[in-house]
Amino acid sequence: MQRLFDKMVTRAPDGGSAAAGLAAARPAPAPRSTTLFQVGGWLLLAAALIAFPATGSGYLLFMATLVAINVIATAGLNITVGYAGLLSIGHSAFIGVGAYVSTLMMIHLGTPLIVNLVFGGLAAFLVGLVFGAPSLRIKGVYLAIATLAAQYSLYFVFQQWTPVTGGDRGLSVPGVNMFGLGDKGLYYFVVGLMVVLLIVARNLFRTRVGRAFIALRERDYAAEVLGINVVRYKLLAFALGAAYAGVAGSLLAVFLRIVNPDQFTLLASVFFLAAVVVGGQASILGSILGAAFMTLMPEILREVLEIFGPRGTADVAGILSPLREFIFGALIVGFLVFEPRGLAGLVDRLRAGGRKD
Amino acid sequence: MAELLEVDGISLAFGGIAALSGVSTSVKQGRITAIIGPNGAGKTSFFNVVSGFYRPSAGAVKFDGADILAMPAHRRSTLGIARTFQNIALFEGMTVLENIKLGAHAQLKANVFTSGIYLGWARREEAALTQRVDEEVIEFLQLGEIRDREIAGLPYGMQKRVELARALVMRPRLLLVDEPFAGMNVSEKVSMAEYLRRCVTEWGTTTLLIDHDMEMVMGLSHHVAVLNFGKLIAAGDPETVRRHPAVIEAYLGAE
Amino acid sequence: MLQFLEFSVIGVASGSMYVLAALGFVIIFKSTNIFNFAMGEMMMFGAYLFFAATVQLQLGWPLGIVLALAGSILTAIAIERGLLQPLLGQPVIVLVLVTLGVGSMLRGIAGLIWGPDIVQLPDFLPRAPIFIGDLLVPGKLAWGCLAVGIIATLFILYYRFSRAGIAIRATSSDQLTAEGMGINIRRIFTLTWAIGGVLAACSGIVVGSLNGITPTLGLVALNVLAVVMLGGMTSVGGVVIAGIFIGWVETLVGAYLGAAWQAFMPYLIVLLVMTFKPAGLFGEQQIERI
Repeated sequence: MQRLFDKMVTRAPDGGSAAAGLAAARPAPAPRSTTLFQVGGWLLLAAALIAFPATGSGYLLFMATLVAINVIATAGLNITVGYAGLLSIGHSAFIGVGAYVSTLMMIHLGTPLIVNLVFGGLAAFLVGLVFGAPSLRIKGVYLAIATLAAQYSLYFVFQQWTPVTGGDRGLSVPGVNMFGLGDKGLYYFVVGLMVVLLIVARNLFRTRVGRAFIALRERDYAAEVLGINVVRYKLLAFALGAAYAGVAGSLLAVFLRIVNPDQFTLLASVFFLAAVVVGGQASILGSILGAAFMTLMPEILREVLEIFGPRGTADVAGILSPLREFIFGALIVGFLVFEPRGLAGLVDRLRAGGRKD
Repeated sequence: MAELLEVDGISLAFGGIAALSGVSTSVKQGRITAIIGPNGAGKTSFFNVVSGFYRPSAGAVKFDGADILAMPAHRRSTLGIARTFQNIALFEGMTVLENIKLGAHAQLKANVFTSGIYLGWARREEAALTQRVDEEVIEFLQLGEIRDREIAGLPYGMQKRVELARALVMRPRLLLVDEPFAGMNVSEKVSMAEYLRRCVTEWGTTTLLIDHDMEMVMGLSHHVAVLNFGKLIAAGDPETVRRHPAVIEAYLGAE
Repeated sequence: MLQFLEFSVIGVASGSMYVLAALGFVIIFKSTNIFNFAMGEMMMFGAYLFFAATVQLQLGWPLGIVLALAGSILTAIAIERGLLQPLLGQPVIVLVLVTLGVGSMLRGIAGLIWGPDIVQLPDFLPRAPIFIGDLLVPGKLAWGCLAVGIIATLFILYYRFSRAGIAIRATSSDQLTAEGMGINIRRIFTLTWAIGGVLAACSGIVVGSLNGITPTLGLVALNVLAVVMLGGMTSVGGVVIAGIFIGWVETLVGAYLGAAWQAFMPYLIVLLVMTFKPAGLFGEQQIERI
């Protein structure tokens, strides 16, 4: 089962690597010959994803679709934070840009989802450029502050531009019936798109574009000597992450059937940062694991609280919100200190251990 | 023989402390030129001016006759200026092959879209690059065995060689080498000197190098310039420089 | 006109509220190069410690201040020693990410212990309004402003003249040289964080006693980022002026355009500063040495 991800993840180090954190991120290895076993694994995974809606559970289908959307957003943030080493604290705001743009197109122009999400991604890309350009000219770290400003500025726009965005109440989104299959259709569409976007992300790191991202993460002055336009590539890495967020936002809008400012808060951005850190920076597998973990964790938390926590739903809700904040923060800190390569690093180690047996 | 690099009266200061004052020197096409001098003499600052990291407060830098002072650092590689760093600036998270490929960045054309799709064109470009790296630099510098290893964990001398490979892959016209012999044992030094010599004889790469190791520098270079406290105190062929009283004094005074 | 003046005075006074937290941010950034995104939460946490000591444990406000400061210092040292020092040498963004995570944790802890609702700190600042001519200044604000002024002055004197202050400044201008001179960098880092903790708690108590506190008090304090950007990341004096200026602008905007604009204002300033004067008004332009 672990081999399923063979093509996506990178090789495990032979021993414990001394270099930790961002520096320990591994780029894609040179393509290896595909074994029959791997092909089998891939087919199995594809079959599982296709057959999944047959479980018949609406709840499971809902969660699976949500995980897939979050995987797209996390993969985008991982390009910015994990591969290129730029800290973006406003990721959810770019998800919001995609959600609003796509929804507005759907409402006013009646264009199909596939068109809307391209424009949603493009809009987030451009907004990313606007916020990224001033700070990245100065120094990479300043992006953290600029993205925080983006978080609040965009929230302000979502909330205040009432005639267009519907203000605090937001917009309700018309349903889409993908392939005539309703919720299942949307699931297939989202999962298909997720696979495509993950492959695109992976491909970037086979070529000069991805190599340049990693180079400027590690030593931007050396990157410059090699002919990499550092400012331009930093901007690209950041805006590309925002574009992924925009696509995820477009999907989120049609999935939840509502868009409002409170979906795109600082806490949501911290959620995605946690997903990147927990899953594993600079790892495609990490984006998948991190997004899945972070999406499912609050659900499990709620179950646990309902069994062991105080009685009454109001009490549970009152505890859940701060508890979530605490856990998001603790996960970021804990993984950075104790397992900087995230769940993907753990998986790598397990596989390495398995091979020795 | 033509001058490939001409540096004319450059000055540079950090917070009032002069790192370079009025330094002029030139590098002839197809030769190995060395800059020597005690610690803090301004050698690396000089490199950083030529690379485009520091903007001198006065003076001119000409490459192949054209003034490049206003040109940003990343554009200078397209002219064919490559360099290595004193403290090895390799990318640890990548393999040797990928590090070397980075040297060809400016010559490649793949963009986000072609890379993302990675079919046909971008894939062919990448394959051609892999082949070129294998045939040209990996073979030349004998890096075949470690080609797919990651940088972290490679011996120091080996890392220096990988960095040289990365600079060579762009087929530079001017190669700046910052302390190629530092921290190496004798046999590593000898083989590094041999590689550098072959860069010039076989590739025709004009080379400018900095090092402390007088023996290696004198044996390898055609021309030597000596810096001390940011000033050029002597220049000429190795024999002349070795006997120059100011040079002897600078080195004796510093030790 | 009178109204404008009144808003201006209030604005300047509330701007001074940013100054302490901003000074804490700057001193940590100067010596350790870390953007401390947990600054606001340290401020909030200090205020809650004060609340716990004075209201919940009924210990009286002088002892409350001492306990809040001690608690805040311990928290700051725990963050620095426990989480940041082990990560020293890692890329800066890892450290910044840790502070962001710590901020989220502190917010969560406060919410779990004290709940989401607003609580009031005891009235230890006099309430009676103060008149400057015809201008009315709310008493708490005026006294709070005075308290900030005194603490900021004490801090700046300490920073300028004490041995420790000089060591911190030496470290922030050149770590290698400072180390060569026998300054223990790690201890300086810890000291800086401890001072940051003191400033955060003072700031939290003063701000909290004006309007009450909630676990999200720290998020409002993200405005401090606008202050330090405008002041120029590294300038202690610049931060004081920028803090007062931003408070003034913000209050006027709030008074004439509404609360939403007021909340958005600091971020607009951040973006403008980055675009037009990235070094801030008083920051030094740095040449990076390679």
